[in-house]
Amino acid sequence: MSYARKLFCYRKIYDLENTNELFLHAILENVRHHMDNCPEYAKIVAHCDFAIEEVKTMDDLYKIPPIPTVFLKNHTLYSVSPKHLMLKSTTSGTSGKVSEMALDWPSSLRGIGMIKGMFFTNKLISPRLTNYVVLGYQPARRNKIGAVKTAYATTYAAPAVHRVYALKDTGTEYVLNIEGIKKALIRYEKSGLPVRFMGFPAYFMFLLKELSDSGIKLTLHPKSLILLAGGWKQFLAEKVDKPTLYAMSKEVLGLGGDRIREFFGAVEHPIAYFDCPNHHFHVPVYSRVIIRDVNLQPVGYGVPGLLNLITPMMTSMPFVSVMTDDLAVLHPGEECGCGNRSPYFEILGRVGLADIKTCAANASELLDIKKGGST
Amino acid sequence: MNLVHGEILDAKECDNVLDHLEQDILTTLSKGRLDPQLVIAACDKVLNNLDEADYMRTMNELGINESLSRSYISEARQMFGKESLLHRLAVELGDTYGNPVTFQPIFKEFSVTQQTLPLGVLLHIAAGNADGLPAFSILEGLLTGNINILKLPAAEGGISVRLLLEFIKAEPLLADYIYVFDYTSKDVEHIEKLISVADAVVVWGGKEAVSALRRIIPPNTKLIEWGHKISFAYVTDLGMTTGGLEGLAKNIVETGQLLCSSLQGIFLDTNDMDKVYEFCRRFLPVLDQAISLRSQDIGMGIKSQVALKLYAEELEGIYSNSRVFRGGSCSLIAYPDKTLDTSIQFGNAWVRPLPRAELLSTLRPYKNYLQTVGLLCGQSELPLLSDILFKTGVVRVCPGENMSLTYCGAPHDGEYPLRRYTKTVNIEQDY
Repeated sequence: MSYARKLFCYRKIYDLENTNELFLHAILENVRHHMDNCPEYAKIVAHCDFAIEEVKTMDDLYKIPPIPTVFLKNHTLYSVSPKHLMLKSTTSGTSGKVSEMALDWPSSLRGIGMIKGMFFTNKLISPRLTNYVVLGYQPARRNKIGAVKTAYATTYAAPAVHRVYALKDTGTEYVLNIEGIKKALIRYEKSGLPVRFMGFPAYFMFLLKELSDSGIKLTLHPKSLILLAGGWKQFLAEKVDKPTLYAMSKEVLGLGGDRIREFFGAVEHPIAYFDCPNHHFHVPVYSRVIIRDVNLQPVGYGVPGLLNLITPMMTSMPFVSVMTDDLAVLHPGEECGCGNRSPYFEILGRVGLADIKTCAANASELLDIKKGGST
Repeated sequence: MNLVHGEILDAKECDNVLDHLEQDILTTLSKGRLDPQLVIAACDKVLNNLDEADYMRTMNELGINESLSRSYISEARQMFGKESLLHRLAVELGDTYGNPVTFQPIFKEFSVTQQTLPLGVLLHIAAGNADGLPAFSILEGLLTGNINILKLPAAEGGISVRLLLEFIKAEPLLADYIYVFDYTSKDVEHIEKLISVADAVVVWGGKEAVSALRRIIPPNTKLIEWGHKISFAYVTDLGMTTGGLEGLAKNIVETGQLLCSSLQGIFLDTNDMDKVYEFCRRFLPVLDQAISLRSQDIGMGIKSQVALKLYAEELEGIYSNSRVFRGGSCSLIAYPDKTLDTSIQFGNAWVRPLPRAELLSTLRPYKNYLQTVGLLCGQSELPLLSDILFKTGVVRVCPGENMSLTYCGAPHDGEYPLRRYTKTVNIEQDY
């Protein structure tokens, strides 16, 4: 069994101390695999004058050249032949450019191991029959967006009686299905079974407003759960005011903040991070987080910088160390107070300035011309 | 902040104003015309009473350093002084503004009296990319005698409303000609209402802002666009002088490459990548020197973005023979392609080969985006190269250090703003 497989089967998912050695072996194994199987990755690490022998301890992890996600949006890198690729996902492409991700069999197995560990530890696995409200797309062959698959996959964490989708597939297009959800929810309340909601915070807020405007007030089963997911970007851009969201949910569905769980991940780093009772995202054994300064050198706890995520999960693509375009800060686990001693990180925002004052034509306007689009 | 008839209103009061906006405007229109002399006098008064220290403080809060603030204020004193505004009226509108001209058209037996008049009501959809720009746009509308409605940009720090209040204080008659509303761009319902009373919509901003408006402006309502533009330098062998290069560096450093007239990159009159690398090695110390003389107050968010983009560009080098040349707090990236794009900004420019024979065909696709070219060439090359550049769509050619400087009466993006805010009308009479 590979080191990585062992790591992803490890069940104490926040026990970083006792998995450091295993993690180091798994990372070295993964870096070697990509260097041997992905010529571009080999070129990148050579370009950065990296030699694998330099990584001797966990403190050397930062030496592995991180690949920026902006780079991965321009280039799709594979470390296996296409015939081994199974699941394909893309980012939702809010910025215009799309990242592609595909899993082969070993990556998928690790992913399943992680999901199991995450769901058990976070008590999301339930034997109870459950009704589902998926605040997103109904799965279809033509839809490759990663979030669709995550949302659908999570409906297996408890046996599904019925699923209703906010965006319903008519076979040719997607239609907004608010009426369908309203009817289903009224039925779910009567059935007395727990309900699970899955989706982005903004969609959930929208649903609550719709229900409230229609004068619908429900008291759903107290074991119902609201799982709010999102990539970093959506998570930040929405600026959903959490206390308001919790209060509305309590009023409209009878489910307060204690029934709401958030988790997120990124296509280029498919590790699921769940929030703790204090709503912090602790680092699980499957990954490590390094914060880097403007010279790309690692910094310690409490210092804001670029977010670098490291995991040996993927064998299909060289996403072993990726650098996001987010600024974040890492805190020691003890600071949280929830009892989890694994460090947690806080996203501070995207790099750059949202309201940067410039009147120079921007890259996306000019890119359209380069591509021969309309001006 | 909302401003109507010289008073600050809350959102609810604005709704009331909107309900009888049409009537309100009719009342103002039925009065006499706004005399540009009143506007000029008000401007003069505002300038004379300008609390420099206060504006310096405000600019400081916005992250603009002291020397730049001082130069902005002295520039403003020049631009908005009586002499400058009179000069602009004369240059941009000609003699007929306020002076009807009567003539007999050739081959016709009647007389024509022609004059230039305000369009009527201008709706200014301002962008938040330059502080105080919304007030500047309104001033141009006032100078041409128009009633002005301003939709504030989201990130307005309050400078515009403050300036407009000072105008009104200096000349209370202006109060009826200035409306400011703080609706968001997504508030289509209110914006459509504002559009319905306007003769023309003046829009500042990027492609998204303009496209969104184009969808809601009815046909035949005049749309006056001041879109985002891009500028660059073109350098030939003969133009590669130390002084010329210092000028380019000066523009990069002083503007942070953020203005539509700022240098984003440099095209060299060559097809040889070795020459491009050689240029980078020669220009980098010049740029480094210019940057070290003027510390840039850029925050961590920007610094991290620059670091990330430069690193990603370095990795791109494995696919092509692009090359990153790093200086202290600046860089040059040599690319082998002939693309025009925005730079990483903040002291980071691109350098690309573009022989003069390919200038027209390469740049022509960008025609609607081109603005200023800092042209470094020999005196003998200037007529030919500038002519080619104008054919590509460029509207201004100048030395590098002048790229972002303007002068009184200069056209903006190839047009006279005041002329765009007026119309030419005529009365025909039998002899």
